[in-house]
Amino acid sequence: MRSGFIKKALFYFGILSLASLIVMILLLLFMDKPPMEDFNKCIEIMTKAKKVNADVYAPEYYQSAETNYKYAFIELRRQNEKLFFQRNFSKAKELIVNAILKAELARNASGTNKDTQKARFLKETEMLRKKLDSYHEFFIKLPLRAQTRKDYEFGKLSVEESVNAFEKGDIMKANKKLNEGKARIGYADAEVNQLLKEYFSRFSKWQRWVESTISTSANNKCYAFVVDKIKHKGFLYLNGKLYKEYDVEFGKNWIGDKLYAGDNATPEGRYMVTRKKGTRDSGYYKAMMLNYPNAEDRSEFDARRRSGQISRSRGIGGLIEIHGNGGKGVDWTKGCVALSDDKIDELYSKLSVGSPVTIVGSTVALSDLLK
Amino acid sequence: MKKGLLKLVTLSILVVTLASCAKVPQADIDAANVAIEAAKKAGADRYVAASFQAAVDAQKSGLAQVEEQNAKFALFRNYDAAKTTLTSVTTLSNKAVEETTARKEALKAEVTAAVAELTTTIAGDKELLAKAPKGKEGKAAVEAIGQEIGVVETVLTEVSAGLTNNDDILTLSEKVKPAVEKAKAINTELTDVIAKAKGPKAKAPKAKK
Repeated sequence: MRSGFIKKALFYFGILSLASLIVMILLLLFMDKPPMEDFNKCIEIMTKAKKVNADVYAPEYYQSAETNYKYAFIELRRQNEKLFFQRNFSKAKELIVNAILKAELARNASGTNKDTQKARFLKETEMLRKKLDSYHEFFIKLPLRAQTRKDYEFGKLSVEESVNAFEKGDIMKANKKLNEGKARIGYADAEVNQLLKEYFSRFSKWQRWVESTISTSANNKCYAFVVDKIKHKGFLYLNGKLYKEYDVEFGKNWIGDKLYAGDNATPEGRYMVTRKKGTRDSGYYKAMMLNYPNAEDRSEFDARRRSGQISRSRGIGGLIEIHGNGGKGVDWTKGCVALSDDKIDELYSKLSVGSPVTIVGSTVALSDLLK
Repeated sequence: MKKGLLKLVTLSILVVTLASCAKVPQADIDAANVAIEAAKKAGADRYVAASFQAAVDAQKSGLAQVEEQNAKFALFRNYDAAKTTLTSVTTLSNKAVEETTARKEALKAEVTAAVAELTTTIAGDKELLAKAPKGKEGKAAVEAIGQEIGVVETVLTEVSAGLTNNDDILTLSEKVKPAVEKAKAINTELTDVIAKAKGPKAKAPKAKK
């Protein structure tokens, strides 16, 4: 009787176990599977995207891929916490597929964006460097405030820092530094532009003087000398055609017209050589004296004195020459035009008493100069 | 007696079943998280980005492997592969920290050398500035160059202070390099100005100008 009961119990237990096993196998066979292949694929693509700096060059796509991956993983974990027959990975699948898509987009866009951003960055830095170079060669001679110069220098250092950061792939810092540089250069530019704008208000007058001087050279078949203060160049014309150009230096307050004796400014106007001095007569190797002040200078000087712009005790000045001892690379005269000795030798041999000499702020318009 | 035997068999099956279930490697997961955080705190993501990324990728893979096993029926779970991957996270993170320290040291040496070079170059610039033509011959240019030296000196002060305060060495490195170039350029410019100024001496000019 006892053995019969045990047999019966074991039989039912066996049946129950078998039934449970079959149910479990069926459930396991048909239960929802987690998208593990997609997760591994996503990790692989995101690694590739990161390698091409997609996080820097395609940040929106890359961030979206990261976010989708994060939520897909949370969803995967949430489903895994449920009983196996209750699990549903459809949401996790949707999220991980989206993450793969965004990671692929980030990887592909990164290359293109990198090229575009690099081109834009290089163009901008090139432009700023050009501006800084022109400052160094041209603006350096302008009488600017110390702060303006500092702004340019700090701006220049920021641009170089920006380039360093860019080369290291730190695009955020590169852009930040570039903007800092642009801002500081911009402050300095504003002052330079204001100064030049005021100075160039006389440009039409300078243009007329230059045209008239070249015409005189053409009509009289003679040499004429045109001095461009901004460019720091002297242009020698023969028969109305440009014959040769020379580097020249002026007084330290060269920007603007000469107002009175001792202002260290070089006068602007139409003059002529009144006297030639050889090495024995000149304190500056060789010199050619100009007829400063001419009638126009005198009339302007008188008007300024009458209006109180110039004190009554001031004189108009004189003894303005084109002379040697130049080639120092700085503006050092008291108002004369200086050339190096070998160049003054050349010029001295070409110009004679009566040769026209015109001194202007610029021979080209401000807009062309700043291009 | 019969009932007791049945209970015993059932309990034994249950115990064997439960005992054979593999456990989630939580300690390895936590260790990997701590290692990644430590690497990030050390700055590995900025100084040795590739090594840091390798650790992060390994962490992602390890956690995915854990979930892959979690998705299986308890009896079939095996976390060995996940454990190996998660252990590699700690190894990779520690390696990234070591590399970061080395990179920082190298950069610090570079910046220190650059600061020394900048100090010497500025001193040289000042020496040349003292020799530069004064008075009417280039006073303005000399003043301007003096201002430029002032700007470079400001950078030197900032970088030196940054070194003392253990500021971000990468930023200091990016800052000091252009300043060194600028100081060198000033040196060249001053040498040029001095050379140009050594022209023939002028006779005393007449006063009026």
